[in-house]
Amino acid sequence: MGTQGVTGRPPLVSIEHVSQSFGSVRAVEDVSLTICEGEFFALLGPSGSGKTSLMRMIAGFGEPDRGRILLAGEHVTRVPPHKRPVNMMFQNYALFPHLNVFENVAFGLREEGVPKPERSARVDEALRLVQMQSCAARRTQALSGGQKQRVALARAIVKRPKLLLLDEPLAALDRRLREETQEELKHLQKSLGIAFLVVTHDQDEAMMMADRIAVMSAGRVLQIGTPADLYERPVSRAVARFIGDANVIEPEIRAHLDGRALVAVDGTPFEIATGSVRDFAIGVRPEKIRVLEPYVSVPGSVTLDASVEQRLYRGDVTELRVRTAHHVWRAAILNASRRTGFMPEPGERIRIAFAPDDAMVLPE
Amino acid sequence: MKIRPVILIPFLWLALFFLVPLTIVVRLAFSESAQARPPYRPAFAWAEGWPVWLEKAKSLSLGNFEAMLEETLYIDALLSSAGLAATGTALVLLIAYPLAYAIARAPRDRRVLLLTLVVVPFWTSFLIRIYAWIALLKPEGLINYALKSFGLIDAPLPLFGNHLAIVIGIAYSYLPFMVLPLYATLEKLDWSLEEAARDLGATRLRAFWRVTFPQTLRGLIVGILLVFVPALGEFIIPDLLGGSDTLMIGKVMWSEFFGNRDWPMAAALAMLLLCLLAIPLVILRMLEDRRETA
Repeated sequence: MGTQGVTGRPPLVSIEHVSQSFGSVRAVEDVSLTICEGEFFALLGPSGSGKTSLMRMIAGFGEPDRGRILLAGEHVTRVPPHKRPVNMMFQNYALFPHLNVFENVAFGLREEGVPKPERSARVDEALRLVQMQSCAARRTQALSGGQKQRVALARAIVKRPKLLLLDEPLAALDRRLREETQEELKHLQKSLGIAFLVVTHDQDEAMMMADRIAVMSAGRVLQIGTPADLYERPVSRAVARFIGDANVIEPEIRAHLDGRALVAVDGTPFEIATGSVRDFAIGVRPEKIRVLEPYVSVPGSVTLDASVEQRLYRGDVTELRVRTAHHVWRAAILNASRRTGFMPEPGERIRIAFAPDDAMVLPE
Repeated sequence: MKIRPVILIPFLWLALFFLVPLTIVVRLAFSESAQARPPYRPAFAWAEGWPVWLEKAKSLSLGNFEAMLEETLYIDALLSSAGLAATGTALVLLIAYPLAYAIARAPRDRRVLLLTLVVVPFWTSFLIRIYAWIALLKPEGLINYALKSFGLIDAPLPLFGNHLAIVIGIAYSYLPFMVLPLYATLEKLDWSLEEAARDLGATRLRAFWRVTFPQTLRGLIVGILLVFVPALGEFIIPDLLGGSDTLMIGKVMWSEFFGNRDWPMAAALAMLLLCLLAIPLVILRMLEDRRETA
């Protein structure tokens, strides 16, 4: 699925059927994907999903057991890291403690043999891009977490790589700084025109920044797509649960006809478009569920009797845990509509409703 | 300020086992040797008390120190000791660095075992281990025998009773003193720094040289001091492995003390050695202070 770039730009990195094991642990299994030039791509998955192993193979740390990696059309599977036109920002930033900020950023240019005047001009420019030019002479130990992150970023972009790898770039920052930095990274990526590959376990981060996301789990790619694709059209139960919240329900499948299926949840029948898929679950986002007073019904919607088990106030929304005949659901009520809307108490009998079109078909 | 009694323990230790013996040696160094028992005429008598000592200090006999500088034997011994200790230290370094590096990069659960293997030989007597080296190095020893029976040499190699044997002895005996501080430094390093260097275009070797090595300088200096300082005054190794003509300051001191029974001269030599060793330590301390305030 989705090995071709969909952004209409020429491919920069092609990963073809790559597998890697460490002893008996299969870290990456038959992964294929394409990253396009100038694209902001995210590898998203929980820890142990193989996303970091995959990124390290692109950087040249670790070879695939099978498959190959192409970079700008060149076969680089066995090229050592120092010869790849790729730079990486390490998770802990990996700044050299015995060098100051300027020397850290200049490191790669010195290795490349860039003459001194050009070197210092390029270092200054990189530091300016991350707004750290005033700290050039500082020792790295004296920097705050956010400043370290900027220096690491400057050090990685100063060599003008074709692809920049970022390993959990924001994980060490506190929440507010993280949100600011997300926007800055996105902005920097667009203005530099370098392709970025971000490894993250944080779905919000991936959704905010990336043009496309590959969701990984247990060494495999579950789905590749734009943030909207993944949120609105997940192909599997796992993706639906990992990207945002979803009520994943196993319906009773009664009949198939012309790419549609007749299903029933808690005995309430409805029809949904399924294409050629025969076996599937359905997923309904909590915010797509309407919470109604009992005996109210909405024409064209699937309406179920329910009772409120729990009510959680979460700032922007209030989340309800409700139980119907055979399932437990989560529903989200926008607190902005609270004054006019219906807000039931725990234990209260209610009804929930959702449009059949909002039920996502999850084949896997 | 309240001083906790615990802090007195190291001071007491130092006073008892460093300051008191040092005072005795200083007093000896300024005395004259004599046919007596003990074989010297003390410059200061313990009973005289402060005022007399101060008076005497103004007209001290520097005879021993003057003799030391006039007699080239002592200077030669010192220079040759320094040369041998430095060569030995360099050899230790060449062996210890890769060893410490390999141990620090080994899987965590294997590191303790490897370190123990480095230290284990030191659980047997130092003297016995040096004797074992005689059996290895002497002309009809194991090494020459093995080389001969493989037909690699015709005549035995001169491995024993010379400077080479002393350097080998020093390298062998002081290895752990270099491995342990280096390991302690290397073990704390963040290996992702080497990866970062390689990612930025450095080969493995360049990454080591520009990133890892500079970070281990402190451990390296500690190791060098721990090896060089005792090797300089080493007595047993040159006595057992070196030839009769080897000149090392430790051996000279021994013969002054026990052979010539010239205790004041031996003490003066010990003082000279102490002063010479103190100079690099003080310089190092100053450099460190400056670096920390920078």
